[in-house]
Amino acid sequence: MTAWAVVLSAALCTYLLRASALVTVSGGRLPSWVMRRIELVAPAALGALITSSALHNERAAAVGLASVAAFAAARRFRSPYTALVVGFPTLWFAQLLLR
Amino acid sequence: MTTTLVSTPQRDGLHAGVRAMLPLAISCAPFGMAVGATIATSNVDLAPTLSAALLMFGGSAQLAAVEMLDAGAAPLYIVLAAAMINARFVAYSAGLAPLFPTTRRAARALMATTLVDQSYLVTSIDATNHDRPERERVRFYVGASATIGLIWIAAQALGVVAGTALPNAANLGAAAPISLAGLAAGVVSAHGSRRALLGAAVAMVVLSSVAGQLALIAAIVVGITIAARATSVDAEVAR
Repeated sequence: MTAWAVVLSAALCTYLLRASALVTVSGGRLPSWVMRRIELVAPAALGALITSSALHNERAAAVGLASVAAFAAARRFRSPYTALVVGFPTLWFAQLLLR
Repeated sequence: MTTTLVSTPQRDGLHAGVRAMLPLAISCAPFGMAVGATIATSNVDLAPTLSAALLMFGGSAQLAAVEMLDAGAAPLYIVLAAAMINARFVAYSAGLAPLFPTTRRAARALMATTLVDQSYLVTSIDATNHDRPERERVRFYVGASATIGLIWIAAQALGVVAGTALPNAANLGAAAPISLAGLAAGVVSAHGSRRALLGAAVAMVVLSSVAGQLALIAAIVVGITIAARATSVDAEVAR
C-alpha cells in the first residue's frame, strides 16, 4: 500500500512539474529575455546530462573519452547513429587502456 | 490493385519523430534494464515499482524511489527526492510551450505526460533545424514519445526477467552519455549554445559532489546564466 502511495504521489508531482509551463502558458507568448534563455535550455541540459551520466559510471574517464569521440563523429558525419558506432569501440578501447 | 503510399506532412512528422528518437531510445534500454533488475532484486512489491515505469516515466527518479522504498525511507522523503530529481522538467516545459502556441490546452496536458530529457531535446533541436507547421510538430513529438515509451517499458520488463544477465564488461550503461554527445553535436553551432553546454558541464563536475539531487537542475541554470551573460557582453561590445 505504501509503495503504491509513494509511486502515485511521485508520479503526480512529476506530472505537475512537466505540465507547469506547457499547460499554463497560453499562446506560447513569453517575454523576449525568457525566450533567449529558453533557447539555451537544450544545450545546457545536454552538457549537464552527459557529464552527470559519465560521472556516475564506474569507468568515468573512458566514458568521457568515448563521449568526446561520439560528439566529434556525429558532428563530422551529421548522424546520431555514428555517435554509437564510434563511441562504443572508443569506450571499449579506452577501458582496456585505462585498466 | 496497387496501393500507393502517399507521404503527408502528418506522416512525415510522425516518422521524423520516430527516426530522431530511435538512437536515443535504444541507448536508454540498458538503463531501463538496470532499473528493471533493481526492481527484481528489491524487496518491494513488483506491481507498483514496475508500474512506475509508466506512471513516473523517468528512470532516475524511479530508480531512486525503488532504492529508497527498499531501504525503508519515509514516503515524504521519497516523493521529495523524486521531485528534486525531476525539477529540470520545469525548464523543459517552459522550453516546449513556445513551440505549441495554438495547440489545445488538453492536448498539451496530454503531451506533458511523456516529457522527458530525450523527448524535449529531440523536439527542441528539430524545431531549431526544421520549420515544421505546428500540427506536424505535434506529430513529431507524439512519434518521438511513443518510441521512447515503448522501448523504455519493454527494457524494464526485460530487466525484471533477465537484467542481471547484462554483460558488465560491455559497459552498456555508457550508451546514454554517448548518444547524448551525438545529439549535442547538432546544437552547438552558435556561440551561446556552446557556452551553455560547456558551462553546464563544468558546473555539473563542481556541483555533483555538493548539490545532491539538485545538481542537475543547478548545473543547467548555471550553464544558461553563463551563456546569457556572455551573449549580453558580446552584444554590448558589438555596439
